[in-house]
Amino acid sequence: MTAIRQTCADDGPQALFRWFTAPVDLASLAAFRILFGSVMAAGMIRFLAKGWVREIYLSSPFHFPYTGFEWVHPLPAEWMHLHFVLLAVLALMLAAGFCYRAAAGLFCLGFTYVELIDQTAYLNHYYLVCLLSGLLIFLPAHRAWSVDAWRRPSLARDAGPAWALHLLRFQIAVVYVFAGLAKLNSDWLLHAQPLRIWLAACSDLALVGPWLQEEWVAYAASWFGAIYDLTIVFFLLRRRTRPAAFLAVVFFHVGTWMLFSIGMFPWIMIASSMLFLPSDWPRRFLTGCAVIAGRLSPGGRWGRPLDALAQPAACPKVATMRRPRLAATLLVAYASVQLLLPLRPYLLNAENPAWSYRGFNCAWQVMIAEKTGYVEFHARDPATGWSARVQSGRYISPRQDTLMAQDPFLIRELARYIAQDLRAQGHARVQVFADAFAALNGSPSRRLIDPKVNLAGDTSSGWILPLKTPVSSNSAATSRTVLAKAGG
Amino acid sequence: MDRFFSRRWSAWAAVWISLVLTAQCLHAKPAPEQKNFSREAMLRDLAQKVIAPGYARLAANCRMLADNIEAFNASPDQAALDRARASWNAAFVAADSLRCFQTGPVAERQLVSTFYYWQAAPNRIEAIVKDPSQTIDQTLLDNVGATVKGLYAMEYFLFDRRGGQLAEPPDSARALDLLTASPRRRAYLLALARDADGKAGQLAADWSATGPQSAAEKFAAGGQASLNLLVNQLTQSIENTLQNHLQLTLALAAPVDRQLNRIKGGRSGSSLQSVVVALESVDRFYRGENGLGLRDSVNRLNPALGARVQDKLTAAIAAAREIGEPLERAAVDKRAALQNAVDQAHEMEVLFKVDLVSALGVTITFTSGDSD
Repeated sequence: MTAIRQTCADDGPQALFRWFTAPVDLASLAAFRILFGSVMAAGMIRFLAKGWVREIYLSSPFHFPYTGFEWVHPLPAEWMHLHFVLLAVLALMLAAGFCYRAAAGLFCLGFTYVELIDQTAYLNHYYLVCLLSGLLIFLPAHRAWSVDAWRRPSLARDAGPAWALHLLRFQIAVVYVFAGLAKLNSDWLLHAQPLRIWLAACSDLALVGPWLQEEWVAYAASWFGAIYDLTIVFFLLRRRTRPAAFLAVVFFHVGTWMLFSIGMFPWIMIASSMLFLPSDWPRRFLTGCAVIAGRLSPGGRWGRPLDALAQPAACPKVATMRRPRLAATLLVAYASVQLLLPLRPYLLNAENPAWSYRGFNCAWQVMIAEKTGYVEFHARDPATGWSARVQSGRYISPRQDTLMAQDPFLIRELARYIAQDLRAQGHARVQVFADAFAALNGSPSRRLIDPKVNLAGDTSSGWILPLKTPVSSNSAATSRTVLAKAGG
Repeated sequence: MDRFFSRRWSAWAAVWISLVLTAQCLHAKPAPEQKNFSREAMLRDLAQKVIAPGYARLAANCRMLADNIEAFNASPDQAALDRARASWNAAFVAADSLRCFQTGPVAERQLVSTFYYWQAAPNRIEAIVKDPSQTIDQTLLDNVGATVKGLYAMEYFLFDRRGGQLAEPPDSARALDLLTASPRRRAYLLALARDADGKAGQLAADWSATGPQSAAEKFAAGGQASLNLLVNQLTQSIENTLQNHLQLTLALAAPVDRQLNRIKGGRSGSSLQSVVVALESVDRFYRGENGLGLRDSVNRLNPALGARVQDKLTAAIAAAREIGEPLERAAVDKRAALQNAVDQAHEMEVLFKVDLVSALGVTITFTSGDSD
């Protein structure tokens, strides 16, 4: 880092550009490709094996599309399952570096497609997978240790431009730092929420279980988590602190994997953190393995293939950028978007994005909210006086219902769909109201949405009630009165 | 930079520890008094002090019901019928006090419909009574559907109101006449009572058994999964009581007395009793019975919520009791009291579905409107 500052001071942007394009060992990038592809393949197989394809994409007639992507729909059941099989195959091709760019591109497209079908399927790490697989399309991760390089030796390179590694590091740093910033709130730091709730739910674990019910453990974990997220990138970048920081990464993510159901996320983050190690770490690692294998085997036979793999391919050429200025412009544009998107909650001045869901997604608001909601829909046609309570179960699955009840925008989306359905049944001027309550991070439940607002019509500002709404306005009598006034 | 980090390691650690300690001092509250709480102890107490005694009571009451129906069959008269009705009511209350926990052996042995499926089908029951080719015995009951057997088929025989046409108190003369005149009718009633007696006995034995594979031990050792199950069951029971009994009765179009078959316990005039017992049973699981209950689990994390849920339960039970007469009559002449009970139960439903679920880290897995 000191070297960068020195060169920047000496020569300005040109020096920065040289630092950015300087050759680095491609082994680290190739190792990331292999690990990422393998984790993705395992993830897709797990998705199929657990029956989530049916549960998430095929079990309800209605899905919550993203604005502008209403045209994205799930495929028929057999094709949807086949799609996930193909994603697993593409992930394996990515790992092997076989038809690398096509595999990365198709995996990115295919994965993004399934993510766009239903907003209730959103997870921060799925968003990260879309971004990382999209970035891999443009990175020379297939030029070392890949089937492509083995089949076409002219592709093989030992070194590539440093920006490829820096871009991935930047992406991971964005995740960590914004996840850390999101934790700087009173719930997390002063009330140890939501960890108090989540840790207490894990008290069945052997050995550590009883400790997890203790209040001080929740406080310590909260503070450690925030400090970890905010600082780990800097510690990983420092040579002296790197070994301890990497151990902390492994400890932290294995810990979260054991405690919480967060799927592939820990493994993606552990694999991604290896990008911060020196770019030749895989060769050193293989050399070390070769030595051990050599000692264990007669005549050192087992060590030789590993040692051969660890050696550079004696290829003096360096992978370079074809249009460096265009590439630099695109990189700056990408970085700007990645920095601005997570800033939405702060720029929108949303009181608490976990409550209103304004700017909550794609902003690395990772594991900061334990939110539970409950919603009832009431429909009324003022022209005929007809009114009824509408069961959301007619349109969505229990899983979607649970997730929708936390997000006012999804509640509004279903209300509009219900209105559309009821209009088709002859209720021409139907209005739909929501009796919605939510509790965030152990606080008492409050109304989430103004029950007087017809969600099927124009929703002006103020339809999402603030988190500070008095708890006393929760009563069912209040609910009945307002709904009666509103006609529900 | 590297030197800075290496020199300042201890300083950083000291700052971090001080921050944690400061936060602790500022925000730590004295822990509420706990009765040696652990989740396993709470689940064990519920299994041993609420569920197992509940099934023992059900078994005893079903045995008494079978005995009284046998006595009635031997000499069918009004006094014997009254005794049979009283013991049916006792069995019904015992079953309903466990309605909010329809899991474990009762589900595994597929006995839920025997005690809880209440929409008996008079036409099908009468068809069996009138068909002499069918021998009325346990084999028959094992092969027919839920609409012609169980506690609520017995209710049809004992409290027959001619298909739900009358709103007056149970028409005892007609039920007695029908039963006296038809030995097949009495045989059917007795077979139903013996069937329920045998099944209740099985369930009581399952819950009083000991050992690692016993129902009580499996429930106690289930940890968060058992807690999930318990909260889901209680929440579903509240939703069911509210939507399918209180709100449904309030929403019935006049005349209500022509729709008694849509009200649980309508034939025997026990519809309000059913609601009160259902709410009281949730309360029993929440408070615990001479031991730990769900409230103790909530209190550890959020004592204010623990008290709020208890207050709301008490208020909901009081509001239901205040109705003071069967729901089918209250729907006509006590609508305000019925509406108040609906409001109180709805507030409790929100507390369970949102606050309690959130505080305990539980996931709701049942589908709304899926019960009964």
